[in-house]
Amino acid sequence: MRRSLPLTITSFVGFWIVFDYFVKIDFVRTWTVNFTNWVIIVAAFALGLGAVNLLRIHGKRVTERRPGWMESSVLLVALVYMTVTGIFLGTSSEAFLFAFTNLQQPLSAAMFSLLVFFIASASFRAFRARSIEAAVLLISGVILMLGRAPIGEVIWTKFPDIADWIMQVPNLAGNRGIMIGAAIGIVSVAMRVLLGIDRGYMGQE
Amino acid sequence: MEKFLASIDRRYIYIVLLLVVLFPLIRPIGLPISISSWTESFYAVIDQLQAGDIVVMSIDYSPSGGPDVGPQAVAIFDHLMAKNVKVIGVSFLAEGPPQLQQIINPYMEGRGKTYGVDFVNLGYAAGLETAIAAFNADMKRAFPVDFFNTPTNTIPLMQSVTDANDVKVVMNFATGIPGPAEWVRQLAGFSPDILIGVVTVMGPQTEPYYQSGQIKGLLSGLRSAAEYEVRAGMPGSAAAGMDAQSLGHVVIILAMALGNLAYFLGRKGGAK
Repeated sequence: MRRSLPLTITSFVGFWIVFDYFVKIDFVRTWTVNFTNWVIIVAAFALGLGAVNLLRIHGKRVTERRPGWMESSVLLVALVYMTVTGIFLGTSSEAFLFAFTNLQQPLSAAMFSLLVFFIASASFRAFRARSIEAAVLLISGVILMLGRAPIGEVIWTKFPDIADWIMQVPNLAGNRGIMIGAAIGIVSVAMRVLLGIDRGYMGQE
Repeated sequence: MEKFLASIDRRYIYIVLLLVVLFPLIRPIGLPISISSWTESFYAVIDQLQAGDIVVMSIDYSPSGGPDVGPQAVAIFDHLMAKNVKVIGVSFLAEGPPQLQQIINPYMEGRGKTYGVDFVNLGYAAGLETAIAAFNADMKRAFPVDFFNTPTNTIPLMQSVTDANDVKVVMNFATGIPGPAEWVRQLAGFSPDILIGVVTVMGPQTEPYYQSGQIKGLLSGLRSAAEYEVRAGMPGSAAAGMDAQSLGHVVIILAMALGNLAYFLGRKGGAK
């Protein structure tokens, strides 16, 4: 019962949603909307569960003074502050937005921006034309960088056109192949889940 | 020569890059910005909207990708406001609503626009792709209250919409999941045109949706934002950043060239 009930619910709801995609019946549609709205509620609980898990893991690390406990304590303070202000004052409150605007946003942007320095360093040390494939990648990269930056068309007006061709022909062909392959894989996995063959989402036996 | 090139400290590269990026931010060069077909298509869809039309803007980018994607959303929102198009803002990423609020804040007081009538921030709904499906099927049920905890069924702008068929265009600005793939999948069977704005690295993987016609316009990174600003005749922060980006690209290309020169000189020396 512990396993068969969740499997039956998953199968029933899954096939219901698929059925709704192909037919237009008001009753079916109404329940599809109900099911998808319930997911929002369940997902919100999952976020809460994630927060509790973070508190448990990092709280333990801080109390036991294990390596990285200082970083964990910063995480806990931030987590508690955002949770308390978000729940009790609201996510549109000044206290919540202050931390978001003055801490989370600039810190995240700074971390992402630092990538440019690593890219510059890596382009000098690692991006070498060691083989034909690497040379093709290198040349494509240079053309795309020049084609996508205004200075490229100042150097040669054809750079944007060549960059567009790379994007619209070889890149497109490769990406479309990957996407179609992934889509077939998703259909296959979905069928396994709906038919109860794949039970990984239920955890260990 | 190869020994010298191989021994260049990476910190010199950092300093050169920093100076080269800073210089045009202080003294803009004014390099010309041409408009790509992606941006032209995006602009065409927005430009054909009529006053009073309703569109959805889904702000699904993280703060880390904000400097790359945010200027796109700002330029589009300014254009929509100038055309008196009404905007329903949503987010399926927890960090989205405050960033959406930053975009609409200049219009909250003044500029002849009213919150709840001309635009609204519905906030965040958990559930990623399933939440998008729920929103498309019934917007007010998926978002019972807005960002300020106002019941959505009391907001004037929300009175004329039920599902995604009631809006002309859905725009998604993303740095990952949920992103273009989720929106394309969940808007199948609904009528609005889809427009996508993504962080630069997502441009290549989003291109297939554009060429197949599933999305009607695509903006990729700060460059596209700059193009849109220029196309709409409203130059802003993105256009101002293009000189710095250009020179940054040049430094990286030079670093690649020097690195390869050192590599080939080293190989030649080793072969002797």
